[in-house]
Parts: sequence; C-alpha cells; structure tokens
Amino acid sequence: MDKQQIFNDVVGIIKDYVKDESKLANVSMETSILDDLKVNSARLVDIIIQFEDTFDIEIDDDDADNIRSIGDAVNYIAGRVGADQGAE
Amino acid sequence: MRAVGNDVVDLRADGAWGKSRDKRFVCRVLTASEQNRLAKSQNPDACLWAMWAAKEAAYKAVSRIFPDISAWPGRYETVFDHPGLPRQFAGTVNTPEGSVCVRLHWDENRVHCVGLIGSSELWQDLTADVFEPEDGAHPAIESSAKKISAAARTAAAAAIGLHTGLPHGLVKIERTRVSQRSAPPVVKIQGIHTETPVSLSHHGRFAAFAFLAPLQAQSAAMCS
Repeated sequence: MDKQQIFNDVVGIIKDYVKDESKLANVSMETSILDDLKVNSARLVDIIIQFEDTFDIEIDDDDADNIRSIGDAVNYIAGRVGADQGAE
Repeated sequence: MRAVGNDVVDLRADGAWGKSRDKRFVCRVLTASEQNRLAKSQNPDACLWAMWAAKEAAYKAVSRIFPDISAWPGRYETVFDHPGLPRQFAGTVNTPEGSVCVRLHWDENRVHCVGLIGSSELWQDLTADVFEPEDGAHPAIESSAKKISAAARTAAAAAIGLHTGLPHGLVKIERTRVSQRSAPPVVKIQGIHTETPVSLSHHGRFAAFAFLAPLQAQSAAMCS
C-alpha cells in the first residue's frame, strides 16, 4: 500500500462525514479535518474508529489527538502499515 | 484569569440519536466511571451528550490558557453534582490542566453546557443563550452549518453590544487560525481586540454562545 492509496482511502472515509461536498474539491495533505472540512469533533472520533477498521490498526488516544489534518492521518497510517512514498 | 467555554448538542441530529449504544465510541470518549454512569442512566443519549458537552465546554475554556492542551475527550473526566440527570445541574470537569466548573441544562431536543474558569462569582457575569436560527429568533439566517455558525457569532456580538451599550455593528467576533487549529474567538469593539471571554457553538439545529461581561475599565474605555 502506498501513500497515495492511503490518501485516497482516508479521503473516502472522511467524505461520508462532510456535509458540504464542495469542501472536498481541493482537499490536500494540509486540509484540516475539523476547520476546513467542518467535521465536528464527535464525528472525528468515528473517523478514527473507521481508520482502525480499514487499516487494521489500533490508534491510541495520544496519537488520535494529534490527527488534525488529512496529512496527519495519512502519515500516521503510512508509518503504521509501512507504506511506500507518494502523496507528498 | 477568566475563561469560558460552551457546547451545544442537538440530540435529534444525525449521529447523535442512539449514539449511546455505540460501544466503541463510548469507550473512546468516556472514562470507566463515566461509562458506569451511562450504563445506569435512564436517558442514555442525554447522559452521553451531557458528558460530551461538558468535556467540550471545559476544553474550550481551558485551551484559552493552555492552547496546546489535549483535546481528546477521554483525557477529561466529568464529575456531576447529581447522580441522576435532572434538567439542570452543575459539576466539574477534570482536565489535564486542572478543573473547570460547568453548568448544564437539557431537554428532549438538546444539551447545553457552559464551563467557567475563575472565581465562582463569575457566574453572575455570564450571559449565555441557545437558539434555533430557523425558529424566528434569527429569521434572515438559513440553516446550513456555516450560517448557523454565523448566527451564533452574530447573536453573541449583538448580546455583547447590548451589554456594553454599544450600537449594533461596533462589536465583532473574529476567529484566527494557528497551526491547523481554529484559535478561540476574540471580541473586537470598534476594531480593538478586547479580553472579553466568549465561546461559540453550533450543532444540528442549534446555535449557542456564552460570554463574560467585559471588564468595567475596558468597557468604559471602549465606550468613551
């Protein structure tokens, strides 16, 4: 699994929680999940749980607390699953 | 130091209703003792979201003083003054950087919590409100999340203006952004940054705000 695939999967998970689809048009590694995509903080917990299921990993509270942008999620997941480069 | 935070949860919103049955969510956001309280509750959804709103309100207040504090809800523990879930009650939230006093009220539609850091007398200086922008309180504002957020900001600015005796339009509430996080909102009066503690929230149908009365000296200077 490379980073581009992780990026696509991460965006695919998050988009189900984004009410205004236009906000997904220019999504990038720098996009803030809470502030740019307007996902509320309770739904961010749901997203973290979906990351665990999709990528078959456990995300502890400290790591979950540091996931604020798409890039944070992609880089963290890539580190956990040993991904190749891409989507930088 | 004075700081305020508030949070509203629409109990009927998508993702809120029935959430107390989502065991994985509950285990991620509640401590063991909170899970025990939830298990005993006769209103589990309201109980879950009351604890959530208290944690969020406490985070918003304490992050004014400690901007890098953890936002993860499992790091915050609610201690309520009443074992049940009366319509109005008080309590404390233990955060990684000290405790925050909270007051909550709820009905079948929403939970609202305000958290305060400072002396207990500060509750007398608090103004808070919850409203539905669609219900006639703010009829010009439609119901999208962005506009509900704007409704909270506009209503808070109007309330501060009313409190300080300033004409409508001289009070603005603005947000900036610091390293991928929205910084807490700030109150500007006639373009000048003030230290008035203010907090905004919106969820589902509801918008909410809370603020502490501007310090007298500052308010007088602004009005002169």
